[in-house]
Amino acid sequence: MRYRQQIRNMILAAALSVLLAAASATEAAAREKFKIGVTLHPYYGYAANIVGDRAEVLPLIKPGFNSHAYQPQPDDIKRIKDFDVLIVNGIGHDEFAFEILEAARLKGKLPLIYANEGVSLIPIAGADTGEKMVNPHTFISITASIQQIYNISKALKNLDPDNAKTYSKNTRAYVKRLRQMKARYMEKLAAMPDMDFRCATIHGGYDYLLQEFGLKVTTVIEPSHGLKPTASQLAKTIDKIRDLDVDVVFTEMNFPDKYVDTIQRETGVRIRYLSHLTSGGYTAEGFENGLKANIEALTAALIESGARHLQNKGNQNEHTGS
Amino acid sequence: MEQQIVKPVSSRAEVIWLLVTVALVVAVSGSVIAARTRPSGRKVLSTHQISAFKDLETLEQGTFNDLYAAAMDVESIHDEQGERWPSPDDLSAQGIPPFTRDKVWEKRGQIAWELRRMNTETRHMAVYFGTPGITQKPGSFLLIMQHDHGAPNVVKTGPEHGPWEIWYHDQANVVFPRIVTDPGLIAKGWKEVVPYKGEEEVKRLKGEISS
Repeated sequence: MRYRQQIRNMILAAALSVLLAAASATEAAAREKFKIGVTLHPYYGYAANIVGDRAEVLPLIKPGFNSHAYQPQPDDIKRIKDFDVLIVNGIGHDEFAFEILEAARLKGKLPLIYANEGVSLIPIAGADTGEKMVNPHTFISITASIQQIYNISKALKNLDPDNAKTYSKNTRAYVKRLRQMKARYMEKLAAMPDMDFRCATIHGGYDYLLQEFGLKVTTVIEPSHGLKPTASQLAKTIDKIRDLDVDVVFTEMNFPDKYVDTIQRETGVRIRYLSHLTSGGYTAEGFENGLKANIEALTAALIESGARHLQNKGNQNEHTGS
Repeated sequence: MEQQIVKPVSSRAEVIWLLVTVALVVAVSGSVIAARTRPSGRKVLSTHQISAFKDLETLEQGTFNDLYAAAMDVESIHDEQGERWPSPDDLSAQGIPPFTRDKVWEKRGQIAWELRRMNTETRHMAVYFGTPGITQKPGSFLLIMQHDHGAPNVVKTGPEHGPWEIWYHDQANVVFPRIVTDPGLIAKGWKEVVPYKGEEEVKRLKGEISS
């Protein structure tokens, strides 16, 4: 009898220890999850898709900020202290991160991943200065995003080698998805006749995306990023849009500006909205959805303008009797 | 009798002091100059190199940037598929520009691609060669992918190469280069295209190099 009770106790103890071990393993796994901080929304999307459930991706700044004019807050310092690594744009679009690093006394201590380290950069289109200036908006694009995704993935694999295989697999799947997304929209353009598409943008934010679509920006409205044009600069832009027969002005979805209405009223040019992809909540699919909306707006503008060019040609032929 | 030792006339002490002073001046001015001079921001290019950032026209810059990103895909596919280099058709089927034949491909001169796998025992190498179908838009490209699989005791000679290089020729009617080495390509008029990368821009912004 006593012997049987002893066995029962032993079994109970063994079961309990197995349970405890399992519980502590899960806890340890949760505790040991690598914490990856990001500065801008697209970097959240890149990192979340690379790591899947193997690491935690956390934003440095709360949603609803303007990345062009952000002033660091005390909460940011608290948040940055939790990160194992921080992913930055590093080429002029998240200078606030370096101020926060300094304030938290983590400069040189927290490992940084410079997403653009190996990215081939392009100049800002339409800049008035003689010297070609670097365009930091590599995240509003497919090709430059893919370069950043591979860069980030490589750096994360070095920092977290246990999960390297999973990161490689996830990276390939994510890149493939982005490639396919663009290919689907390119198919829609396949039947279009060749045409001379002329577009203006309010700032150089879309240069990478437009280059991927083989497009060149005819004119840039803001004298430099974030600066409103003066009345005389606006008048010159309006003349240029009329003279060069610009088809579409691409403007910012989340920061609407009155002067765009003025341009539209004066010239009758079509206005289409693109997103800077740095607003709203931080989600794994946010970048992909935002980029898809941008590509949709871009292809719609191209198709619409193609139809208009054809119609104009038809009218001209009718007029000349040919 | 009082003895006095008179040293012969010599300027030894003066010379020593002069040398010390000269050394001090050189050291101080040298370190001041070193502290104030920063290496130039943009890499100094050799005569056989051109800058993707400054020297290429928009359309060609677009092809270069697509090719540069495609190189990362090619490398990743090579690792994933048992070290097999993907063909231009494979890349086109996956919607990877500049291999995929879409509207942008048409606009950029309809570049047709050919692949030669040049694997040796110690080095895996693939050369993707592209010439435009529309000759009014000249410009041919080479994407050279290389992986060392050499034994550790193999001594490397010649210049160091990255995992890939992109070369450009300003003519459309060029043939697949027979010799794919720096001197071989240079002799046939090819130029290596060097991107301006974020790495350099970060250094420039940090003030480690001047613009």
